[in-house]
Amino acid sequence: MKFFDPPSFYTPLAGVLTALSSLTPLGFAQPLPLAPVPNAYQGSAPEQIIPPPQEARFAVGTLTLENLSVRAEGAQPELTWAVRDLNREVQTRLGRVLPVANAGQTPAQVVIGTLESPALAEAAKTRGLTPDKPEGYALWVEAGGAAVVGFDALGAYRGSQTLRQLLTPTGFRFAWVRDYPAFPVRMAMIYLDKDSARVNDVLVPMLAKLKFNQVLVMADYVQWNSSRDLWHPGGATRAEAQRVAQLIREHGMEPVPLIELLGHSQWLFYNAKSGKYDGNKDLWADPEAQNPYAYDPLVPRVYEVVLPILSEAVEVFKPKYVHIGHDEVAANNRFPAKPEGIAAGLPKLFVDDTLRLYNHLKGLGVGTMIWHDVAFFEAYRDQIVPNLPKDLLVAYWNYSAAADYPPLKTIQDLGFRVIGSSFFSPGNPQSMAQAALRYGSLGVLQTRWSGYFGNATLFDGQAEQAVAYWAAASSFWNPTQPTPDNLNLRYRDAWRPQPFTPVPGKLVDLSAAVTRKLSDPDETQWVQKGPTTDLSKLPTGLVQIGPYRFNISGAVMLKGSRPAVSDLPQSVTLEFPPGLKAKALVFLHTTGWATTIKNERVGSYTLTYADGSKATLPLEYGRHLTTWTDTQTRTLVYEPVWRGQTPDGLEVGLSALVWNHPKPDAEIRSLTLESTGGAANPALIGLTLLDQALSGLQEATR
Amino acid sequence: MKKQLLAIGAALALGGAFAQQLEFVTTSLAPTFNDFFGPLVERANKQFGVAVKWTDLPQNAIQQRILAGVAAGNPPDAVQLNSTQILELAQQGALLPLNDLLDAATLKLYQPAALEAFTYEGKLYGLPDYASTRIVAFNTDILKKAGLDPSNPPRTIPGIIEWAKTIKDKTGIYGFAPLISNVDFLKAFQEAGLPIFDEKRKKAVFNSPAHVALLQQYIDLRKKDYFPEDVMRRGFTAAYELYTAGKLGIIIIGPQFMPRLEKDNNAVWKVTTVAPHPIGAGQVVQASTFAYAVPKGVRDPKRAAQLAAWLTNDENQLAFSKRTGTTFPTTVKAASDPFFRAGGNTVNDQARLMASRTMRNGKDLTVPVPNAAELNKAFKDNVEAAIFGQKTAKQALDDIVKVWNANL
Repeated sequence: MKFFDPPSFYTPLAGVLTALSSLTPLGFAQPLPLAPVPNAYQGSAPEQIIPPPQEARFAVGTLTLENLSVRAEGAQPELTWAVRDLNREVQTRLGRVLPVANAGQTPAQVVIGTLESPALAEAAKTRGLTPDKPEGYALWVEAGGAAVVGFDALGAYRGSQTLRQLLTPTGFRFAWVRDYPAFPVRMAMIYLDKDSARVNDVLVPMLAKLKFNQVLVMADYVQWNSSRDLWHPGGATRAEAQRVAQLIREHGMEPVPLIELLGHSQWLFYNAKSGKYDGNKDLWADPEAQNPYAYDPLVPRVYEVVLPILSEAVEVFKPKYVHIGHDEVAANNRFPAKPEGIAAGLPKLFVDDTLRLYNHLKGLGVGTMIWHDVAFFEAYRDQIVPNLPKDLLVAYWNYSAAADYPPLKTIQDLGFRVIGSSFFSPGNPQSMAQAALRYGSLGVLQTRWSGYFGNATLFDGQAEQAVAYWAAASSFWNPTQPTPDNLNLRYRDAWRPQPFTPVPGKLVDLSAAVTRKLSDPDETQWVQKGPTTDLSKLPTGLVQIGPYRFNISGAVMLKGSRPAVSDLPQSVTLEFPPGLKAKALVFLHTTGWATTIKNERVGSYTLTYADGSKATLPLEYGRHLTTWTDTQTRTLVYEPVWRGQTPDGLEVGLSALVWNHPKPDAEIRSLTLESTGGAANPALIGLTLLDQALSGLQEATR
Repeated sequence: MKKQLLAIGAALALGGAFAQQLEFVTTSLAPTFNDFFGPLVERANKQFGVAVKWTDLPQNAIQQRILAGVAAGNPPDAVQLNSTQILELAQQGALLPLNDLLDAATLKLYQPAALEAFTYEGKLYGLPDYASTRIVAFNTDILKKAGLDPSNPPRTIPGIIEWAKTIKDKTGIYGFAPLISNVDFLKAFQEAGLPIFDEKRKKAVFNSPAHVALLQQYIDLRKKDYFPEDVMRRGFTAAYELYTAGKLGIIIIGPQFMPRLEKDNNAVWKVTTVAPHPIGAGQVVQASTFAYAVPKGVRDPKRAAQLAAWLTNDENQLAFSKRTGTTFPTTVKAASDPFFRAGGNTVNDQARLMASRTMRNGKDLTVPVPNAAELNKAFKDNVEAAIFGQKTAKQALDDIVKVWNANL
């Protein structure tokens, strides 16, 4: 059996044939039709600026880059950083840079400065765009040139991040913007660990682009000079901490180290000699605990260990604040556990410890920040809060989206400055920002909890936590605007910036190989859940999905363990016309259902070359593809290019995977799709061949 | 090197191929029950002829540690987990089915309902160890301040809610802290007699008007601040801390926490009275059951299963539940021991007696579904969205049902 007419798949006879085909590979001797196109890939500028400006007008037309140069009007370092970031953007997208003109001398068509420049101030005033708030800016792009005019130098730097996002394949979009942040504190959290350099070197510039102005740096496992006994092999070196602090500053943000103390203090008990958490036993709050968690503030030696670390953190980060944690103190083990601690009670232990650390930091000229949950919890508040200094900065956290967060007001009414802290749940950053704005809170913090040594998972495994930086950036700057779309792709772009240059290629017509229709009127197609739960809303024909074009007619769905797909072929071979070559393949694909086994191999794509050799791409669930009902992106290996809904409103999506196969100059004869037959059965919906390799899987799976 | 050779010699002396260390892991039982597990380990050493190691891990860390152990090829031999954790780990391929590792006679020792809680798609993934149900505890000082009679407590959930509102209105102190975080509302539905699935178990049906009304009741309570927001974030831990601090009038609690309360705040313990958990239209009450599972990749699966069976045999289950004084064995024989029907003078004794009465309706109400981790997350996120005013009750339940039905 080598070929079926496409319609035969939708007849009862086809059911018998496909059942038979599950025993043997299904092949198509007749080559599949290909449609050559000049733009099988076409990168484009994002439509939405993130964060959305407070006031913006746009017009048709662009300021072309021909003969364009850029100039910083002023000596502040922020202006130099602005020019640097702008030129990085131009280089990445279009493979060139804008010549940098000398300040005040050479004329330039793109000028970045502040209101200190009378000419720029006048130009902004003429346009009715004069910025009047710290970190605010005016920006215009017109036929005669472009300018960013900051209220202050940081404002100019923030404005340059907007100008970057106005770059299109033909130049900068015409725009007139007057903008300013809703909060003076817009903080994002990152981690230091052994993978810090390769992750934070991407994240820190990205956070700057998103106009955050403070970065909370989880620094528990930094290898401080004063604590060599605690050095964990997964921790970052002190030099790396110093480098990241500098990187943050040179991107217009302030670093704030987070060193978790009192609770979440496991790091204090790591024993570099044994490689276990059995060190500093005399400091354990619960001496009988198997997994130490909190220290005992009644043990004087605690402060001989902790205070030098705080001093060193201040030396390295030169922060305005140090965040000392103090959350979830009694979450694990007993706290207090010893008789003298029980006699003192949790509130007194908490207050005494906080004051000890606060006074030490104050002596170093640095403020103190804590989480709210123990100090302000109804159970202890009456005993703790009256004894705390009012200049503590309190981070209130609630990681669920909510219509309101009244504790923000409660904490402020008790005399403390507060920032609202969110996490990655949809809607959480925005609802937190809106409540913080309502109550006049100092600011907002986007947390990340990817594990002490989990930096690498921001690329593959927990990417959703970094996608949330984009949602947070939008709402922290401009809380009343809706959260923009396609944030998965925007985050991916930070790692794999899309060039604007088109790539020609061929769109494969899969209709002869389709085994399931996308619409399911009678519970015989797609995943046989009926017309309310199908993919009928996916555009078909020659369509653009994300930056790729595909010819979509249905799904080449393969066999799986679910009864609804048990009669499908386990393997399908797609034949190509003779002489075909391609540098890369782009698959638009999904699975019928999920598997719960992390990175389980659910199938493969195997290329057969004309010389008989083969190359196989294994498909790992969650890394190379995911089920169509899972719209949360946890990896950057695949590209979440389409989001839509089922007819009954369930959010669904499809992803694309680019394969720069190993023999880009060899003639390709066929592609074999294979399923392992498990819960997550693969379904290929679009296939496009590119004449040029893209930044794709090879790099993504490094 | 010399040390290593000595260790090998000692292992050979203990008995050939089996002379390797066995390890079992418990959930959040140390150090409270160190006095029980110390002698247990000594007996295990003799029973198995090798060194048996006991490790205790916090509940929130145990799944990750087991997965890491499986991935690294050195998991512990037996791990004590609750039913949700066992279901999720089994679906992640991290646990071995026990049906083929143990004989039928061994499995017959356990209560069938307890085994059912750890059976997924016909395979058994855990040997039940102990069960714990809920009772209701009242702070009589707070009740009196609110003008309520501690000697005549409410016998229904709506009655408890009315008392809780009175307490908050009259004293400003929170009256109660409902257990509705994570997927606990699935249990609340079942306790109220509301179905989760249709009869064929093909479709989720918990978006009916009755389900919506039950969820709406709690949305309204939260909106009027009749329970603290920390309950959604920290669940029972927040409730216990509040009660222990004398800042909560009523708590739904496992009886095993009464001895802990006695130590944590003796004054509050002294003014506490207890009552059985109300039985709703569902005629069931959540009884959390822990079981020992055997991770994939253990050196000797049969040996590991034997360890799990030994840890959960009649003798050990009975001894453990007598030690806690408030949990219940899950083997047929041990569960019938008269100890669990005996009352006493202290509130701890009363708590055990109340729990014993409730246990007649006790059942582990965990809902086994494919892709449980993701489906449970969808449930949690949507219920939170409703409680915190981001969605209506109807919209939240409709959205969950859509996700569940596409994945069932």
